[in-house]
Amino acid sequence: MNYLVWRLHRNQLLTAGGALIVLTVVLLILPKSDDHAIEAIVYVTIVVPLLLGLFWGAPLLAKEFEDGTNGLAWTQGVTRRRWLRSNLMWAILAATMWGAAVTAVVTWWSLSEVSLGRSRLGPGPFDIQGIVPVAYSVFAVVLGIAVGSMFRRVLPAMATTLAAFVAVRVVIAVLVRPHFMSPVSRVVSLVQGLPAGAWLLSNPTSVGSNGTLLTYQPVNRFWAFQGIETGVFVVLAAGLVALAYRMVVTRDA
Amino acid sequence: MLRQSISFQLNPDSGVPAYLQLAQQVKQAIRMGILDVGDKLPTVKEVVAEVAINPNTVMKAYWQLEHEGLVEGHQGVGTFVSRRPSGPPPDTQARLARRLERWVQSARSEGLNDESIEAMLRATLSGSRVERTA
Amino acid sequence: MNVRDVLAIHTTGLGKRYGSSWALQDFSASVPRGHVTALVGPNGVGKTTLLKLLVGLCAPSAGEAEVLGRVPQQSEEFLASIGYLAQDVPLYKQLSADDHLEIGARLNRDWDATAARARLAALRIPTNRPVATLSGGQRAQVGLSLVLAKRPQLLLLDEPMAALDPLARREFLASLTAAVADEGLSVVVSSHLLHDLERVCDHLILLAASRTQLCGDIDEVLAEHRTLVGPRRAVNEIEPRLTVVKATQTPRQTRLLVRVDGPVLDPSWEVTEVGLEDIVLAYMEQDEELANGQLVEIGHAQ
Repeated sequence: MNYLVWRLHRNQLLTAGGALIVLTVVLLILPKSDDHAIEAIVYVTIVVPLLLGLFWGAPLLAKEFEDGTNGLAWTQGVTRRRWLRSNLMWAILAATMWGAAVTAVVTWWSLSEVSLGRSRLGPGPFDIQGIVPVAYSVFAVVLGIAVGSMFRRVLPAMATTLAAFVAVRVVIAVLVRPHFMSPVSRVVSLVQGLPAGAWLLSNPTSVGSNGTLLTYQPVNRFWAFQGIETGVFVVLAAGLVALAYRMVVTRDA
Repeated sequence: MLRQSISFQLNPDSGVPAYLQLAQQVKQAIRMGILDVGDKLPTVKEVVAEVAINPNTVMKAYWQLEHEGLVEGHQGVGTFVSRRPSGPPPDTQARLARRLERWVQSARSEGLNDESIEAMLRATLSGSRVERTA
Repeated sequence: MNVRDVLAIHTTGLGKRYGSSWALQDFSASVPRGHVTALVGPNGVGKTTLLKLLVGLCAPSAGEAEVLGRVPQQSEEFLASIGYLAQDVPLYKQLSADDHLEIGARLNRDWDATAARARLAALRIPTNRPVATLSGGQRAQVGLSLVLAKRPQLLLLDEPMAALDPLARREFLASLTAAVADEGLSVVVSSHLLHDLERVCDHLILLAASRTQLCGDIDEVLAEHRTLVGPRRAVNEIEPRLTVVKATQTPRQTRLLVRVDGPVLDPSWEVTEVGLEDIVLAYMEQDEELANGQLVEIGHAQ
């Protein structure tokens, strides 16, 4: 079964590898002072998990259902459980590796130091560093697989994966992430200003003549937040695995 | 070219069961000298690969021939011709065939069509007498 | 249990429902091993559904099925004992026949690639090109080779020859029957090509109106059906022992296709044998009449 997965998806894996090499080369020649280039690299890196979900996850099972080759595997001695397990395993492994590789390349390029004056915890820098890119990649791929096994056709699967991934990411990043841990509310004097690297959550309000009320998340919570966000996406991915299981193993072929 | 001793052909619309057609073709091959005593008949698999019919049909045909004493099957080795079908040798058959041809020609020239000739032949074979209409 | 006694297929009241409509209903049949069985019936009557139920690609809504003594299930043992070729012969389009054989060798415990390669070579089918470049007939032969290479005990084919030209059909049937002769394989093949089926099959399952109408040895089916021709009479005047499958009336003459369980005694009938194709068509016509809302009561006054 492993050989089958390799043989079927060999080209995609090699293409992704090629893209990674291209990205590395681009980062090598790009001057670190070019703000527009940095902005572009940030966007590209944010998009990588979505691309993995769209072009790996969604078509992985959906294409086989469309072509009827799931039936071929299933009657050539591969039980449906094993088929799903094998596809999921390799997809998650590949997503983990590519997600980590892209993060590593970008981090090596020390993007965190050139995050345009924004907090590490803020949207943008937070999404492309640490371990969350791996969580997003895995989530995207598993989402694609689950949706693909539900719709059993490639285009609806891709469209739904796109919509669902963007929706989930935006909702969590905008509505949930600020509240992973209770924000700190403090009045600071104009001299002190915002603590270094903190993520400001609301507009500063003047308090009295000398003070400003700030609501923020301190930068030392970076790794805690990374862990929590990763946890959220892992739980979501687990739910999607269960959904895929129902769609493939329990449902009629 | 096929590697087995003889080839077969089936006429599915002839009304004659398939296994009998095969048996008849074997008998004819023996009569004409194509197959001799001791020769091996094609295996069931060889026949079926050529003619695309159910293997049971071939087996039925061979059993029929074995029942008539013409062939002998040896487990694991094959089916072999054991005796020639009773009847005159090929040259006698050829002579009788020529006589029949001449009779048919004269029957046609007398005004009998093929259908009537067939009917007359069948009636003669089954032993009843036929009145020739003038 | 004696292996020889295990039926290839044994079902009781098997049915499958999609939503509120039944794709197959009350299907009961027993097919012994070592036969080539034709599965015939009108389009939409449930042939594909039946095959999928037998292979375990879907679960029954009613009744039971046993294939080679086991309930169809997702176990490697069961999957190894059966072979299934779907109507559209799904293959991995970008991979070659050689690739498929390589994959099969790794997926199946019991795998005989030698015979498969020999067969494909004899048919002059290129095995190193993507299968998408092969013709329909060639793809069907590749599909058949793959399913035979896993050496199943029961082979289920869903309209495998639908897209093949006459020569390709003949070659397909020859490959199939050679494998049956070689390995004592049991086969169920669903098809509309009755002429081809008649050569190759010795057993029959006839579905009409989503129910079994006939199931048995073809020679017996032929022995049990007769055409009766005689002076015109009302259908309800016919002996109750005869089951009328099809009645054709002209002002002067009645022609019936009947199922008998003994000799026909009434001397006013001319009794002749019927070919398999006519029998099957007569049952299928019944189905159509029922489907069109005309309730035709067989055996009663029309």
